[in-house]
Amino acid sequence: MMIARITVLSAIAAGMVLGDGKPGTGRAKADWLTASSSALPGQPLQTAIRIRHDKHWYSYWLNPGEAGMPTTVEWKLPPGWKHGEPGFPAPVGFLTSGLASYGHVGELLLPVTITPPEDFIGTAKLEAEISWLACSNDGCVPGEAALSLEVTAGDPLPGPAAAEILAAIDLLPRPAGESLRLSVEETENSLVLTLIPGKSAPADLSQHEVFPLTTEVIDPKTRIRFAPGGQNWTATVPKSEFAASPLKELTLVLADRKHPPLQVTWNPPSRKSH
Amino acid sequence: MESTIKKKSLDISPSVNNVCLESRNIMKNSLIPTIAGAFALITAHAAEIGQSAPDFSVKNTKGETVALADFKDKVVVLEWVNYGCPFVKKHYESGNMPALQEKYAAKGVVWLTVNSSAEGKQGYHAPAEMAEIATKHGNKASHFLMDTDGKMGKAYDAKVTPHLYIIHKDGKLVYDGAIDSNPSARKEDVATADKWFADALDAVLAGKDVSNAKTKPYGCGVKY
Repeated sequence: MMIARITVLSAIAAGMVLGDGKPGTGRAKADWLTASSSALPGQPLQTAIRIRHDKHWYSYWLNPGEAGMPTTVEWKLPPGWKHGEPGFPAPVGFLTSGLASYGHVGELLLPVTITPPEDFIGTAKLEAEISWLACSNDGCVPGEAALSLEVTAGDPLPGPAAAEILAAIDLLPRPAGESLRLSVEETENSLVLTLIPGKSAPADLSQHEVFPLTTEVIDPKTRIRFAPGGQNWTATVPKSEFAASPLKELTLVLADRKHPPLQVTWNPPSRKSH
Repeated sequence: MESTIKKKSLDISPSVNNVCLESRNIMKNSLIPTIAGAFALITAHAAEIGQSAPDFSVKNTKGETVALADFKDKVVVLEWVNYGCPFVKKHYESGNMPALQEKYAAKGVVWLTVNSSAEGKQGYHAPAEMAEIATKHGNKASHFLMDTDGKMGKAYDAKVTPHLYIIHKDGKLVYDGAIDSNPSARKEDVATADKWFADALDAVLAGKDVSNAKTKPYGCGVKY
């Protein structure tokens, strides 16, 4: 019996020819995993899109950095079905062709919840298309894959991918909430970032890698590290040459690779008239 | 600046599985030439909006020397290219780039397509072969320049392909950035994007100021 009926279509060869004449394939394969092949009406189902990169190739994070293109999903769900936003784990930083980028290598899981409609009966075929740009030191190749998943109405039963998906959810950045607040002071060319710890904040933030999720605010060549400053943690970083001033938002992802990454967002204080 | 780049090069993070670690080491080793390139870039006089565009003297695919000084009183466009790059393909296969080249040539603009791929790097072809590939892609530039040593690209800080620059008749740099607003590799997105580069060039030709002179270019890294 098929526990999880998942149709796996490997990456569509985009017919690309690199400058050296090698055929391109998107340099990665994608498929769609589900924690259960059955779901109850109106109850979210945990799924994950998996991208397996060829060795030495990477795709891009939501903030791709100086070049590249974020991976995107186009949903083709039946009427009444809803999807969440695919979650991305903390990226790794690359410097290729002199350009600083944020991306993912190896096997990448993007957890995403899918919710059937309240009147869900029988079996539904869910479809989505994923597009990515794979790059290496040798060049870049776009890739895309048609994904599909069959889900039957009924009590959820953990399938073979359930544990893997749960592990992937643990790697997703979660809002720091009350535990950490970010403030940003903008000068002409730089930003002073301050993290103000609250209840149950991590004891040490100096070892966290810090990635700007918001694009074009911090120069991607910057290695952001916070240092203790009184009760708080501070970092001064160069602004992106494309930053629009005054800044409207900055979201950072802080990862120490031991705990789930944290996400903090700053918005300028609203200017109230006195 | 030096230390920032050195640090960054090591900032390929400890990661969650062995595949990543392995890749990290590979990336580290392969970074050495990249870092050298980055230093060269720092020492070069970088192009800046409103300042005199850096001079250059580079051979075209026919072996003729082409210099910025040859085009006094002309509006000059520089377009960095690499036909192996999906973002370049987007603008050639959709016909967008050749159409722009043709349109502005008719208005007296000098269009210089530049390939800065170093010999042995992706996107490099010997001049005669390069000319053939460019023709095959419908390139209608005034000259196709072989910046194989990367000097011209580094002087302009050309980061990606395609990366576009506009030099005013008076020799000042007036545009540095993207061809349009949509950083995708899909041909169908050309029609709906904001035409940042063409709008800038139209403004220059109309004797107006460029309102959006520096935009973030998108594409593949130049293979110096």
